[in-house]
Amino acid sequence: MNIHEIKGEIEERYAKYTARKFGILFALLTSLVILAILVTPLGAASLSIGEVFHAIFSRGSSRADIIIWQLRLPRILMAIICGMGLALSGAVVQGVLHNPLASPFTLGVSSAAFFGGMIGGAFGVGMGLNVGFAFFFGMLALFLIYGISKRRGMTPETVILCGICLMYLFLALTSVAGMMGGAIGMSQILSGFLVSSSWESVLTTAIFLIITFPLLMWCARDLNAMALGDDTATSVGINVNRTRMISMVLATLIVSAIVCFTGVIGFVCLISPFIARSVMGNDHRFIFPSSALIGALLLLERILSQELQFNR
Amino acid sequence: MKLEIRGLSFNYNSRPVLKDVKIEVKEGEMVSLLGPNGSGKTTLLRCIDGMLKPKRGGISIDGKDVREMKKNDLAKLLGYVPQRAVNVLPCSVFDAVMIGRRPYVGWGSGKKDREVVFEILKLMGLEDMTLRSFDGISGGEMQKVLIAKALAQEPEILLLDEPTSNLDLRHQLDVLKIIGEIVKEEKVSALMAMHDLNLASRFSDRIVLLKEGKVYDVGDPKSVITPESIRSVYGVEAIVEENDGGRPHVIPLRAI
Repeated sequence: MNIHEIKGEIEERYAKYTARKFGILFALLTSLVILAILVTPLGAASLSIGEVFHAIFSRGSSRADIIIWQLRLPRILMAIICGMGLALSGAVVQGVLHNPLASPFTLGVSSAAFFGGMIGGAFGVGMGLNVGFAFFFGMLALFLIYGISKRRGMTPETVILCGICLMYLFLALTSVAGMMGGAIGMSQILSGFLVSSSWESVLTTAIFLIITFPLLMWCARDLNAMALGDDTATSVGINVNRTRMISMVLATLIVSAIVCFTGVIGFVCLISPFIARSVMGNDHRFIFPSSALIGALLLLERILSQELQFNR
Repeated sequence: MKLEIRGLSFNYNSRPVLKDVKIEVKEGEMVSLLGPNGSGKTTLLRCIDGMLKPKRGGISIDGKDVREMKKNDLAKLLGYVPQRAVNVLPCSVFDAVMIGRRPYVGWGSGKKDREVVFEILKLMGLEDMTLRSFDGISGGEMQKVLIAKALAQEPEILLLDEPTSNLDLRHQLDVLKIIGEIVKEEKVSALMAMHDLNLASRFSDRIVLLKEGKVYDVGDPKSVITPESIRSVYGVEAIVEENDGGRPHVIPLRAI
């Protein structure tokens, strides 16, 4: 075999390998759309798929229109955005810390951000300030964890244990603050709430997601290089610290925005990147979008199971 | 291109690691850095690649100071091969080599970049494991992938930190032969930290012997690798014979 044949063969195999990953992305996207369509008719008021479609496209003032536009669409969109954002930030944090157990939830970032959001809410100035406070506390937690992970003798497991301590600390602080302020019920804090969502929350979180996603995709390749070690990454011209900083800030930003509206939602941000890695391999260019889609699917599925359970 | 290191000193905290090191590597030349553990070989390579900031002294490539170059431009000139890779979140072999295309525009998904990577995979004999996961291959193969990544940068100067330390006998010879061919054919310069005196002697044009952060001796293998220098630098009694190519061959006897 001459060199051209061999090269052709490698090229062909690589093309197939990449095509498979795009195929998976497409399949995920398709199932997301299908699931969203399936979930919309479900709810306390029984509407047929026909009524739902009519309501979506006509947007009148009938009962169905109001239910769809005021209750169901915001909730479904919020689930999609939340799932995407949390899963994406989970994937980023795992990539930056080189720790497959890391996520904003297990590192205490989510609960710190939620605590911050609540403090911000106590001043009652508006959502912008809430997100700002949430972001500040989220970053505080993340830097604390990052500092711990850089210490000598720290294994990925000990870092996660520290993160979980931090998570409980902030949850405790939140419940103390909550009891003093009487703002939010404890059950909501612990489980996360997607029950009621407004268009305001959908738009705000969507904006954060739309801004951060392309920037994170731009960091994805550099994160791939950093997975081979800082030395290797530096030697191909990557400013390792800058990339780490940018991606951590962006990940915290998404989490903070989401947490302010929904409370702490735990499992998506940990499990979605995990699933994404197992089907996609460790290329962050594919992990980020696939993890986001999986996150959205998981939260939609949660709405689906809730509705099936309560409204039979 | 010519790599020049002048009066380089480096301290870790207050402990001096490199003291007034002066080395020159000419175009198309293969130079080995020898010296016991802790003599500063790795530190020197890391200073050259800009990962560590030297306290004093200058490093220049063709007369240009590396500290005044942009990271990306430097990455097109210098290919660095670390001693080992971390692989917590392993990617495929192909993607690992593609990382070497990072300094070139467009982040390397272009056809030209793929061509370069395919060619290097073939050259390094890695074509059968192109799509294997980086943690699913042997230590020797990992080392080859790291070298392939550095070659994908199309560098003028290769810096290798113990490129044969994880390899079996056959792969050691294989890898050094490939590096030697690239050095001669592409007029690349190579500076490599080595532990194996005999491999260094067989494959290098010149040897730099480091002792406690200072250059103890520089020259062709025959003049540097002697029983006296081995005793003084390594603290080992050794016999130096001649190998089939007329280069020195060391048989260590006992530690002094």
